[in-house]
Amino acid sequence: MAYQTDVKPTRAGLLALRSRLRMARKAYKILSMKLDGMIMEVIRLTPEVKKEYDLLIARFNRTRFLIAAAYMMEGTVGMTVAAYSVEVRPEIELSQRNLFGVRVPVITGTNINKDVIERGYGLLGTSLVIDDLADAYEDLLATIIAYAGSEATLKHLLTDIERISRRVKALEHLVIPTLEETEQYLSRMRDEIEREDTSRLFHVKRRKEAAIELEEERRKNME
Amino acid sequence: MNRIKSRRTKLHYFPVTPTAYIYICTRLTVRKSRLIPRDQYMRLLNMDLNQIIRFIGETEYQNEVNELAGSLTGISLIEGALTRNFAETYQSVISITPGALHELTERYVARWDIWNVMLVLRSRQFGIPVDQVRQVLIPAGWIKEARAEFLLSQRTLADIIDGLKGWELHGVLEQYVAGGYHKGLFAEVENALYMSFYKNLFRDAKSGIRGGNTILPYLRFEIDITNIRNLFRLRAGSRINDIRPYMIPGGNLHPEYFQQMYPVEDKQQFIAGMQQAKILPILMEALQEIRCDNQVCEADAADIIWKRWSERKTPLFSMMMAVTRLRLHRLDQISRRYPFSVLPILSYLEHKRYEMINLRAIARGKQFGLDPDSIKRYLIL
Repeated sequence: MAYQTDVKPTRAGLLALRSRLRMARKAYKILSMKLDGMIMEVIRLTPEVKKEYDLLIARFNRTRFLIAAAYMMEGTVGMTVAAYSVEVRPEIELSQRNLFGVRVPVITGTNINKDVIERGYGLLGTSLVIDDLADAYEDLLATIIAYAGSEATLKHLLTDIERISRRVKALEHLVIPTLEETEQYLSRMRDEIEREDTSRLFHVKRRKEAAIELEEERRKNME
Repeated sequence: MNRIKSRRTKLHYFPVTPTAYIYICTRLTVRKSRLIPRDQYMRLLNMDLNQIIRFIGETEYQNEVNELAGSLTGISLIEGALTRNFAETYQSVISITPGALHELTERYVARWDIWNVMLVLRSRQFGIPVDQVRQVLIPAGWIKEARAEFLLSQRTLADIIDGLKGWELHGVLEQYVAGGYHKGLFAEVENALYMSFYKNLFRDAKSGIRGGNTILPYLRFEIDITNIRNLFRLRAGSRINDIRPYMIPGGNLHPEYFQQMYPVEDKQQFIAGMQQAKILPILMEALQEIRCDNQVCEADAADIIWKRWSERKTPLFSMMMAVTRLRLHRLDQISRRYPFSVLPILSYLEHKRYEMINLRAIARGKQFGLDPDSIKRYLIL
């Protein structure tokens, strides 16, 4: 296993390394909790989004069917007149909300479902199929808005899960083991240095004693 | 206003001789027999778009198809030719009807004027390009092509309304649009125009014209059907409490009746109300036709219609189509009973209108890739 070589084998270095290791372990714990939370959220959201998607497809098919029927019954002329009558346009608002630290978009629509008398066309000059088609499109738009919000949330969550899981894996398999190895290496190195010091001191002491003995012998000889 | 009144009075007392009736009715009966017959529709159902273009290009629509073939193709060519031919046919009927009949016919086709006026007003207010509007105008009534062009060239709503001086519904229009545009104005104006349209039609039918009295039950029937349709529409898509302003007066059923029916939630009460309206036999016939089964009884029709009512949905449009077929059938019946009256004229006009609608339905159905059996359900034969 790799270890860091840029750390000085000093006590201060070891302490700094230990604090980094502590921090990495803490980060690992928190991030893996966040990851679990996000995965749970995705598991909760997925069936909902799927349901919304199915609804979207069903509603889209209904509008396809109705638009064919409306074109057959009213022709381009009737459809264009109804389309030109629109007075209030639907509006979409975008905001954000925080979900496990991930910023997800919230899409809300206003003026989506309108009362039949507020749509702009006259009741007496149009036929049923226009109502049905307008209803179908309003429902489709509402579903699109709901689905867009949920899908974007899901996508953001998935991107973040990927990012966070990479980080968690990096912490788990690379950063923490490396720091641990480095710590062990440093400890071993410091022990080695200590041992070297002891033996050096021992040798110095022996040499000093030898020197003293030699001095004493010489003095005796002089006398 | 005085000028319109004098014009109307003059036409009312223009003598329509029995010979004139015979002449015009015979001419239109001959024209009616030239409309596309049922078996040809069955052939058309199996053709593709180009074959349909070729087919209509060899019938009454030849001129229009030839004129438009240079600029349009496919479905837009068919629709363009159909609409143009429709407008021209209506114009020619108006031009050959004499005296008071002329006036009644003009009044009957005034719904296309309302259509055009509303289109022009909306296009001006919402800034829709003139070219797009021109394609969907149907100059089939009092507003002919030249006047439609003139209206399209006007810059403000007030100018457009000034340009409509002399139109019988000008007064109504002026009254509503005088205060300037506000949200929901056009829907109000459109409803008011249709109300006046029916009112004028009633007044004319009662004015002593031959066949006038016989057309009244037909008109009442049409108004009832429209009101019942709108009752369902309002219930399905609206939260308003007072629906009386949206109900056309003059039918067999009073607007009060619809107001009473509107909040009904009890099945027995609803069915009793529908029985009172004498609508169940009509719906039963419609249902028999849809299911091709003569065993269907009134109770079945009542069940279906109650289901739609209780779920706050609009009636099935196949049901409405069947009712339209029935309405046309009734018109035919009474027009056969009074062969030299105003009825053959109206019968021809309606048949012509539904010929356009049928051809359009077939062409559109083909364009959307529907099978012939599905398209057939949208035809009014």
